[in-house]
Amino acid sequence: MTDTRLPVLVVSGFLGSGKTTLLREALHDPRWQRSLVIVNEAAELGIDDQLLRPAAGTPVRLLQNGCLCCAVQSDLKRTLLETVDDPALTPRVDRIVIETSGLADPVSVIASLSAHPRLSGRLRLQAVVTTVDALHAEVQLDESQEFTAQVQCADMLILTKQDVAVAEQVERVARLLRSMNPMAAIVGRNDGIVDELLHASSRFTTERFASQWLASTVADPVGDGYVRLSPLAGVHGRNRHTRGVVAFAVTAKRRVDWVLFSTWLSLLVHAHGQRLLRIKGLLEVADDEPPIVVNVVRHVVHFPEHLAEPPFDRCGSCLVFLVRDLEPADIRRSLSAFVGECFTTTCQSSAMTLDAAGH
Amino acid sequence: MCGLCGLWGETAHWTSVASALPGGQQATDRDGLLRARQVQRHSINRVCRAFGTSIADWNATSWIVTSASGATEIVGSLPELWRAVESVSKRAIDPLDAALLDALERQCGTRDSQAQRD
Repeated sequence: MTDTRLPVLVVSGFLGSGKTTLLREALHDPRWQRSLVIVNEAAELGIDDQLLRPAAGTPVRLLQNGCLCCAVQSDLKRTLLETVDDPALTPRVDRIVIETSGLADPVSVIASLSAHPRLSGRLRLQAVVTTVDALHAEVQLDESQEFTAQVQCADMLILTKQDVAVAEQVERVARLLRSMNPMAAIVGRNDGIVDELLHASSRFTTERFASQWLASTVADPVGDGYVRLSPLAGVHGRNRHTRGVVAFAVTAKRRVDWVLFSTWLSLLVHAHGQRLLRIKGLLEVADDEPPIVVNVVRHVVHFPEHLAEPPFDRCGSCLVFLVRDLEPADIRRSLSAFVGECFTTTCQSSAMTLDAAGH
Repeated sequence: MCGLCGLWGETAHWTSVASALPGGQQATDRDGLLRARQVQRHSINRVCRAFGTSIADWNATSWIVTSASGATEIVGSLPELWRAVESVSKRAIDPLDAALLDALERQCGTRDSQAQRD
């Protein structure tokens, strides 16, 4: 069944990190002109919509005098509902782009889209893109929890102001971002950025990002067990921004029973939602079905969806975790206890040999 | 609202057993949904047992959570269900708790096989 929901791209980023500049550039591209742009500004008098309006030639809505994540969250829902209920507008729009204020936590926006029954049926959150000021990111991460949240829930991180930062600083920031969110694609602010954004807002994002998630894991962890732990490739050490944060992957060679898995995941989110910074990955649930995409941001679980086409040969299930103050070995053990061999309708493993490759 | 039980109908939750069926099957595979619902009930009751509670399926639309003392709540989705289990048992559930995992592993014998391997 074709997913006919309207894709939503959330553009996040700290104050002055270049969100509006990026969107202005994108909206000048003809491929973006069937976009509805919703701009949020914390200030009482917004100006970003004025900057975007001439560039867009497309509808621009301004939500001002408060952040999307708190003060004007109901305004966002109302604007989105008005949009999807407007029969004159929806045929003219291919996507909705939400530019959050620099102080907003995007998780609240994601929750609004996922939890509202009418919105989740009409809109599909496609990706969260966060702009990162390469020149000031290290200081901002030290001082702002909001910025940390923006980085952690991003699917794509766009480094801006590289031209005014020295190369070593850009590399340092990229490493820092990678350690904070190993699942996100990190791209530079270059000539191809509009294409990158277009990919991020297209219906093929899931497949594309799925390949990246798996590429970010160790390709062949040791052992033949049913559920295995892998350290993530390219994540080096810990720093003051990742204190208590651990990234790891769990893989299963055989099919996973979705009913058992969702039962476990719902309880994990219930008990530890605030510590689950991200969970992303693919689950193989049946031989003749494409894998299911799993995407969790703290308490918010995206509605499960089947990949239209597997982006690679079948290679089992893989989940990447980014958690705070939780032990990977405990999560692995818990997952096995809930989803493991005692329910062998889909999991034929004779033993749950759990090889903790490290954490 | 259901005229018989007085429950409000709700939109599908991501933990609904139908959520992972490819679109076309959701409307046609009623037996498959009921079987999946049975597996879900069984897996939840494994956890509930450790808390002196149990659940029953109500018409494949709601869960009835009951404590040993008879306290009962009716819920729709799994997040509501876990809150109800905590409410009627007056204990917090942690899926990473070693005692709970010990109990689950004992139920399916994995702890013994794990110990033999070790």
